[in-house]
Amino acid sequence: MAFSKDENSGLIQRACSDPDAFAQLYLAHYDDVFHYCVRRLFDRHCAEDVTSTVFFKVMHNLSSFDGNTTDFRHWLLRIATNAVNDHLRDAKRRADTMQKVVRNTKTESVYAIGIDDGLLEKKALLKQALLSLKPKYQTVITLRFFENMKLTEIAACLGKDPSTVRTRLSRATEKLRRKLSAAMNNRG
Amino acid sequence: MNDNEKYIEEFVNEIPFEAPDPKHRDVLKKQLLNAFPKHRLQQTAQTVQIWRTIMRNPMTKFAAAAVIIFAVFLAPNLFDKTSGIAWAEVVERLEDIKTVVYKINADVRGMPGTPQGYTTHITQDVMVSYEQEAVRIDSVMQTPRGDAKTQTYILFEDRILLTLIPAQKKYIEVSISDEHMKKMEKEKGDPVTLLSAMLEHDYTELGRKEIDGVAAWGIEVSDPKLGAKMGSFISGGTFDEITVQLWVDEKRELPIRINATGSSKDGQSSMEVVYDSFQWDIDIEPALLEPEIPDDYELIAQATWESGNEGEEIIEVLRLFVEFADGKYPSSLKTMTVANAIAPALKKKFPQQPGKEVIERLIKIDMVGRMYTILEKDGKEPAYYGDKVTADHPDAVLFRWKVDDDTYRVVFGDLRTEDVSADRLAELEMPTLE
Repeated sequence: MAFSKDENSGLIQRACSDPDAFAQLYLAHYDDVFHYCVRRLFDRHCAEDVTSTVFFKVMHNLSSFDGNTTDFRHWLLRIATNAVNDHLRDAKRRADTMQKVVRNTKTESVYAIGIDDGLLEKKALLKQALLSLKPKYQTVITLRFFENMKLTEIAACLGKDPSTVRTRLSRATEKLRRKLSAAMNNRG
Repeated sequence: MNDNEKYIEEFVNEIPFEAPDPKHRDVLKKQLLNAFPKHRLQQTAQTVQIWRTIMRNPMTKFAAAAVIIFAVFLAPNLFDKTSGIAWAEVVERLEDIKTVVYKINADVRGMPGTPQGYTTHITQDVMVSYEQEAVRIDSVMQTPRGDAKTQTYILFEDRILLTLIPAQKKYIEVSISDEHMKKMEKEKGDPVTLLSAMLEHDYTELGRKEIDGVAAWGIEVSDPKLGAKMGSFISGGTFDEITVQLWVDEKRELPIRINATGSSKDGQSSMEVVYDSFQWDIDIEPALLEPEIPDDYELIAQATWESGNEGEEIIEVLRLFVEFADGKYPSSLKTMTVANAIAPALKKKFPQQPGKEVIERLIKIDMVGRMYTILEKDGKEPAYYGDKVTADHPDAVLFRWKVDDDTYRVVFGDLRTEDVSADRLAELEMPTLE
């Protein structure tokens, strides 16, 4: 569902007190939030759980949002980032997620019919490597390479200085590349 | 784009991910609409807008978290214009600070679990990096049984506080909720707003003094509520009385020393704290602020610092007294008083370390004074009568706070709760007050 900037701005305002407007806003952004979550968590059910958490937080805090439509996407992704990181923060849950990564890799072909085997294998490697990084590194990688955000946009989304994001992205890409290269070499 | 970025961009290219499920989307939509809080969402958003503005400034966001531990940045405009310091310049300097390292020396008398009258000496080396959004505190506490060393990390972005106890190979993890972070921001925890808050108190100009051969200007504030914006030793609600002196290097126009004293009304505990050896904007190796928890460390407790339910959290702390201290409640809800009141009972009950669940409940004691202060600051009119009421007085009012315009939540001696009107509260409280 697409809205013009003005429409979206008005919608956000109305959504504070009008359930129908909130539903519209929700439907307009559900896919974005789910995509972000599933790219962070590599698991549909976890991603759906966290997406639910995100929209409940949005509903309860929407009246605090006072920016424009671009800010709204950043705001939404910031809430999603916090929710995903909360989810991953629990060490046990993190271990479970890692286990699911391994398990799902084997059964993934159910949904992945017709998808190139090489891509599925790369995805499995990416999952393991990415989830082994600290959440803050996972966050910048996902925003940069899956959400295709620029440094300044990531900075706005996370409420950080661009220089901080640059440093973090540099560390994150270095760590991820090292892990991916090692995994690729191990697989021959 | 550097080589690493190119490599990753090529690697992730065309990797497939699951598509959204329309069923989940519809189910969630229904759940959201069922829970739509019309009355809340129609409120004005002014206070939260202020929060958003604050949050956009990484400096203040970071400083807010520093509230948990120490008020490092006592801003210079504490002083009036006759003090000879260009305060605006000092404020600007502080706003540009990227890192700070300093030492704390504290003598605390009456620490929970120590012999009566025993003074515990604590030294702490603190590193703060605004760039990395992290704090590290290396502490050594001299106890009757020897030195106890801990490392505490506060990772603001991850909203986690970790305390490692290397000698025991154990650690504690505390998550700080979004709401709690917000609450801390509203408490004016950052240096500039903290000072403006302090200026609202009665303060004394201390004049000029030489500290370690450096000319400095000082100011003193005495007010237990001052501590609400500060942390740890000077934290809100820890002691009944608090006095803080701040000294600023006249030439460098940055804080050079902070002295603080505190004491409980019952005379059981007191403290003297000195913050000094400040080093501003020095390079801190990033790895020093990244905790590495060895695989053989045991997680002994995991807790969350929430906001918005301070009253209920205080009840949970009081419940510990029913379970472990025969229903004899602490005489006040200042952290040191509460901790000292429960310590002997816990020592008796758990000669060894208590279980994880108990430790997680005990962590709340650290916050009890602060939670009470939050209720006061939020205008919720809390009152506590632990000096008169025990669990043997099931119908007497032990604690109460306001839950909305004309409703108070009353906690009775047996920890039963009831929501009552102001008139009914007056009736219930009368026997307690008499």
